[in-house]
Amino acid sequence: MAVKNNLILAAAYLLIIPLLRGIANLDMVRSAECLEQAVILTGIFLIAPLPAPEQSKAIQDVVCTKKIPHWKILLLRFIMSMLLLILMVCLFSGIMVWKNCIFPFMPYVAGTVISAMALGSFGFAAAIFSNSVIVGYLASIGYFLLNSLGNVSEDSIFYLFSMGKGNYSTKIWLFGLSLLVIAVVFIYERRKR
Amino acid sequence: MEILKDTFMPYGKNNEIVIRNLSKNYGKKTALENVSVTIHSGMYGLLGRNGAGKTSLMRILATLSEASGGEISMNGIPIKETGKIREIVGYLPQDFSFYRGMSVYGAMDYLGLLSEIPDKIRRERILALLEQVNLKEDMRTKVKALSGGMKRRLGIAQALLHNPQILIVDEPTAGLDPEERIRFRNLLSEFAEDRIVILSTHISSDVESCCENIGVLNNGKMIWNGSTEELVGQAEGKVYLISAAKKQDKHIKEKYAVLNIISSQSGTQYRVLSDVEPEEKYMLQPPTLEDGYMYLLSQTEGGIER
Amino acid sequence: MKLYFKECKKIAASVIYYFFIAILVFSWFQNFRGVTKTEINWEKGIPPADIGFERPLLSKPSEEDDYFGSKVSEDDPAAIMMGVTRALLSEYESNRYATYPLGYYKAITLSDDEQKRVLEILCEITGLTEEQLKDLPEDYFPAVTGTIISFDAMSVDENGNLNTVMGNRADTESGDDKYKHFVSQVTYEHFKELMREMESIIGENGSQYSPEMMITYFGMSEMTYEEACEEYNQTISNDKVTGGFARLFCDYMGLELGLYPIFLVVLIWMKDRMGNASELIYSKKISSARLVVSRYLASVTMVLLPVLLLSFESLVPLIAFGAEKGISVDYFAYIKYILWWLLPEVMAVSAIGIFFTLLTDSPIAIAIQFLWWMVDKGVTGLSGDTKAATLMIRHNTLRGYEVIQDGFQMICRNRLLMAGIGILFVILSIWVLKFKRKGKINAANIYHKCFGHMQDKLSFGSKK
Repeated sequence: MAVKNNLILAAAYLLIIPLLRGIANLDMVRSAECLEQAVILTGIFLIAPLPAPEQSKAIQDVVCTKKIPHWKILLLRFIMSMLLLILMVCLFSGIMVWKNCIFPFMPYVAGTVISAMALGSFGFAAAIFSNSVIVGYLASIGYFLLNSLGNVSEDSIFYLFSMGKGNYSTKIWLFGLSLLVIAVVFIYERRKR
Repeated sequence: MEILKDTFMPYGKNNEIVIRNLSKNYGKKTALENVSVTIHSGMYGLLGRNGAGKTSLMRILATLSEASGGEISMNGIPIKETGKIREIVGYLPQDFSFYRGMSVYGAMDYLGLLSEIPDKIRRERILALLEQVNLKEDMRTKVKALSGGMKRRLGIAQALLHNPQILIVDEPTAGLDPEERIRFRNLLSEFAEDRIVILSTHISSDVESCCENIGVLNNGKMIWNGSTEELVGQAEGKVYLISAAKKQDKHIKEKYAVLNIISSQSGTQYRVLSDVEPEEKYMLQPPTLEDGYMYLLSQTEGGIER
Repeated sequence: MKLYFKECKKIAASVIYYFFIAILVFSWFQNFRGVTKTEINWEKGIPPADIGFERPLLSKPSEEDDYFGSKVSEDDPAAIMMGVTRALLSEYESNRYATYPLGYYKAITLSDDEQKRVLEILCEITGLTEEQLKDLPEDYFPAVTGTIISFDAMSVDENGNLNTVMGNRADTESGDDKYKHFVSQVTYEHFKELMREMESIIGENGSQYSPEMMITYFGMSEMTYEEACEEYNQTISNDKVTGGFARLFCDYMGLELGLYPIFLVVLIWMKDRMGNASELIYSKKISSARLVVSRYLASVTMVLLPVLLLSFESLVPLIAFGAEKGISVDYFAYIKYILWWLLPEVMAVSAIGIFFTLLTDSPIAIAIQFLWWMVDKGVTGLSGDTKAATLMIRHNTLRGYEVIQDGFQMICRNRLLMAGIGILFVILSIWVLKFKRKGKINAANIYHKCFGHMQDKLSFGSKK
């Protein structure tokens, strides 16, 4: 239920992308640009708002006293969202290839998913710690814009668009960081309840 | 109560709420159907099962919802003039809650601002009311740290802040312990001396002790409107205490509407409703409001419910 | 107006306000901080680390200087034609034409017929045949054309710094061999005609062949002493020193303020719902108008306050500079530009936030505003490109006083429109709130009515 709404929003967003920018006939650099600078935003739609249903204290009191610990449910949602993310990125990339874009498929899909995951988990963590999904959105969008407006250096491990510069090592860092952030969040959730 | 009397100006005895043919629909669902009643000064109890339409009626009176049909006027002001109505009505909703990070005083102050109470009197009144509801020491406590009872007290304090002529309280004592419940009822009774207080609940004992008049809602219809005594009187001569052995339990439950079961070492006693004298050994009981209420419901639904 | 102050305090006590300030300050830190100091130091003789193409803004030019900065102009058509032709040839060869219709890259591929026509144009301009075009000598084009520096023009010195060979624009004489070096065979006027045709062949906006792009990329020339003096005088007497800095400041801040305030506004209104406070608040006497307007003014105030405070980082040194040099400085330049450029923007953004949050009881206003922000940022050029519906005024330069003068009317109209949008949405919000308080608008019900049967059909059962 929580995931369904996010899915619809993410799908709508992906449909809007071709209206704003070209997704056909892109070379490697431009394809990376399109994927990294537009598609990764789906990460925000799918992952950042995952804690939303339990924001009200009343619901928390009900949900967290059930047999299945809350963090497991959250983890389940997260995994489902990740699967959906991978699926959607693959689909979108597939369409790009069909429209004559040239790029290495698997590496780019992986890179995009990782950046999206980083973006989403950042917001997810912010939402959990501040108990407000809106703060989560702000954190994610802020992170994205700081990258987009050039305030994050290209060499930094937080850089989201490294694929376009031909650099994959940042992705590994990003992946590690995302996992770390997610782990911290879940440990926190586990402790809290 | 002296503090309140000094701070608040009393109103005359000509308070009155007139409701005529009120109905409310949510799509195909009918919440209220042709409700007509006139309410005067004092405590008025609104009884009914959950889902009978009490909260819908409360919300319409608090101007949070619009009627689908019918007319309402409060102290001569038609309900459509929401600004004026909101000035004379105080509302305590069923799930009272507020910004968790605000202090008790802060919450009162904010709501007082929203009620457009002038600065000078506002502080005085807030302190007086908080003292009245016993929250003065917790002035700086944040809302999220308040217990259920304390929240309700804050709720009543904010509802009284602008000195309304009409107070609407939805399920006021839900979640309060017996002591708090009594204190609450006393507070409301005092306030009701020159004003209208409408109390909606499904707990009869709340109503019994302090309301002169009662309305009973059932499935959106007002099936009773009159004095408390009269409602109690409905069950006069119809409440019996029967002693029976445990093995007759099922039989008794099938035969009568059982109001209460008292088990003791000497045996089991059943308090039942019956139009005629029971066959078993019985003792006639003076009815309570609950009995009257149950009797009324059973009459409305044709026969006594099992 | 005590409610207004209380609302301001409420905002100041919220977590999200500090996130907002943090992001604002971080961006400011990365972009604008130190710019003032740098210019002041430059005037004192300490040039900045990367000079680029410009001259020190605050230094009075003297006749002995050997470089007066550069400007974008059409003074050197030969250079423009050369740069554009080079780009055209490269795009023709790969059949990938770059366009930026909404500010984001879109590649256009042409059909065979269209490519043929492009070839014809190329041949006409260069005077070469197709085979000759395929086999051009290496130095056919010079290293530097306009602001596009080709890689081989750069060299690495002992310290490992990249240097570019500046100057030496290819001076083409008419007697030059057109096979060895690029010599345009058409007049500049005809060239522009051909480029207009290119634009229509490509069919999308924002290609390199539009007049603005051509000049921006390739039309660079050096300023003369007189021009430099004029710029300096403008800075000192018209701009009163602070004006240029205020504009650049507002350019950067405007980018942030076009989006981030929406989070603040959305949270304020969603908090009512989340704390279940709406029932209480809605049943109070206060009119919807007063409630909305108080909160609206409070948001606008609290958003602009940190911006105003940040401006002092630049204002104070400039005042000191002016005092030192005996130049009069405009103390109020920052306030003027903040009120003129940023206030209407914040008004519009906040009002839209209130409206959509009240209407839908959801943070969808964030997505809507984000979309507007993305598109607006994409279609607006870096300076001087304010159109009627522009949200964020861009002026990414310390100079350009005359750009603002020229566009003055348009800017004023635009800002009035933004302020008008703000007021309009405030009125709409009041209206929505009025109905909400009576229970007439219930977002959940509307949503369910519209999407209810769709959702039921798509329902996945146990999906969480």
